[in-house]
Formats: sequence, C-alpha cells, structure tokens
Amino acid sequence: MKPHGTWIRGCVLTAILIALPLSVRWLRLTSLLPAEGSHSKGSANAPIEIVEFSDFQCPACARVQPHLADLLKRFPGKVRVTFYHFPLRGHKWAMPAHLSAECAARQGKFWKYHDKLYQEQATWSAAEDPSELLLRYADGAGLNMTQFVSCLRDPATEQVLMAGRKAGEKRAVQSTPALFVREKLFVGDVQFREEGFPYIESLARGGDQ
Amino acid sequence: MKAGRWLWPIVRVAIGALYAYAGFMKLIEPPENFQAILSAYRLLPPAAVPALARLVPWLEWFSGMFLVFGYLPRAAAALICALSASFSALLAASLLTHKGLPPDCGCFGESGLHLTPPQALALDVVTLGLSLRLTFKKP
Repeated sequence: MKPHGTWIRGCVLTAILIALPLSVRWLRLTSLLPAEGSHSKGSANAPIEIVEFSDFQCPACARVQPHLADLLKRFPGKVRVTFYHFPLRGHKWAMPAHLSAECAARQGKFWKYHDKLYQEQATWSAAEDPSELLLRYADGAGLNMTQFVSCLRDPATEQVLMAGRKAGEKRAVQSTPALFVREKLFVGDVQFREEGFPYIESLARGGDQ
Repeated sequence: MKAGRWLWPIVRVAIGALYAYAGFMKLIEPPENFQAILSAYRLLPPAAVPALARLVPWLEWFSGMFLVFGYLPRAAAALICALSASFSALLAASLLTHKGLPPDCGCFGESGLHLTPPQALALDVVTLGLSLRLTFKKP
C-alpha cells in the first residue's frame, strides 16, 4: 500500500511540476507584440517574419545585420524583419542611440539611420559623448534637424522605446540580439548564424506558405 | 543535538527552494537564453550546450521541489550534490583559466537575483556540503 501510495504521489507531483513552468512559459511566449515601437522591412505579406530585439550598442547585434540583409535580398517577398528597440541597461550610450533612431523614424528614415548606427558602432559607442556624432548622422541622413532635436527632447519618444523593451521583457528577452522566428528563438549572433540562419533558409526554400 | 531536529528540515527545504527557484526561473524562459549563457563560459563542448541548456533546469526544478516536499529526499539531495559539484567545477575552471566569464552567472534566469560567477561558486560549494549531509543522513 505504502509504496503504491508513494508512486501515485510521485506521479501527481511530477505532472504538476512539468505542467507548471511550461504553462507559464507558453503564456509568456505567446503574448502579443505591440505595433508601437516596431519598424519593419520587407513585404507585409511575407510568410516568414523575423522579430528582432536589438541594441544599437551591442556588437553581436551589429554582426547579425549582414545576415538579415542577406536573407531579405535572397528571399524577397518571403522574409520580413521587424525591429524592436531593446537598449540594454549596461550600455551607456544605447538610449541616446535608440532615441535618435526613433526620431529618424518619425521622418521616415529609420532604416537609413539604423544602418548608419551599426556601421559606425565602433566609433560612436567608444566616444566620450556621442551626441555630436548622432546629430551628424541625422544631418547626413537628410533629416530636418529642428524636428529631430525637438523629438529627442520629447518624453513621448522614450515611451515608444520602452513599449518595445517591455514587449521584449514579456517575451523573456534578456540579452541581445534576440530573434524570434515563428516558435523559435535565437539568442546571440552565434546561435542565429549556426541555427537561425539555416532554419530560415530552409523555410524560405521550402516554398513556405 | 536537539537543534538538529528542526535545523536540518529547514536546511532541506531551503536548499530545495533555492534549486527549485533557480530551475523554475530558467524554465519559464526560452531555453535559448540559458544556452547563450552556457556558451559564454567557453569550457563546455559546443555540441553539448543545447542539450544541457534544456536538461539542467529540469533537474534543478525537480530535485528542488522533491526536496521541498520531502519526496525521495535522499535521491533529490544526491542529485543536487551532483549539480552543485558540476557547477562548482565549471565555475572554478572558468575562473582559473580566465576563458571569459559572463558578468552574470545565469544561475537564476531573468530573476532579480543576479550573482557573479565567484558568488555563485561560493554558493555552490556551500550547497554541495549541505546536500552531501542530507544525502547520507536522513533529514
């Protein structure tokens, strides 16, 4: 009797211990992502969406960019990249960079500014104060500087950024880059290069609907 | 002597809760987060990292909760011994070889509890000692 009771207790406990964390994880990972604070590139009807939580000051995020560009180029109409701001607290100049990019977005130049930030990451992230550089990039992108500076000072801009960050936190994003492709997550440039990139290629080549 | 009657059950529950917490906080996240942290230690075989990232949190969660509920307590304590010993070895090797340590040990997932690798090593050594005692003497 006693061993039998022990086994039953063990089975019930095991079932609960399996179900509990998996349920919480499922609820987190299926939480809807807001449109606010996101920027997309690629066809709106593309069957494969890569949702990227990224930090402009993160070197691994910079290393992922050529792979994303390659996928968009090689599979036009099949792949779409959606960017969410995820400035990491440990990166001193991440917030100014993300604010600047969001202000560039208001003038329709997000992706141009985004690419510039990653290309020049080594320069502005090592600067004592990159404010001047960030303004120079905006000017180089053809932005209206009065509007740009006004946007930088607008508290609503930071709120938009934080909406993206909160969405990432709900999805348990901890580090960047974090790239969601359907049900799969790839964290860091190595995981994306070794696992994510081949996965997306196989989806795209498979004539995915 | 009398203190041991109530002390060791408290120790059992405390260690169980610690491991259950560590395992649970990793399990409610995608395993890729922990996988990225394990990769950062650069001491584990890369081919083993994805499997370990998925297996270890479950071992922590089950052994911790079994210990908390007093179900198969010696087996649970033995598993925690093995886990503590493994974590200690990994952290000590990383510290000694300077192969590049992540700033956060990754022990507790995204929770507010963030330990540096040296802090985690100290905690693992303590839990190893206590769980050894729990394994070999009925709590």
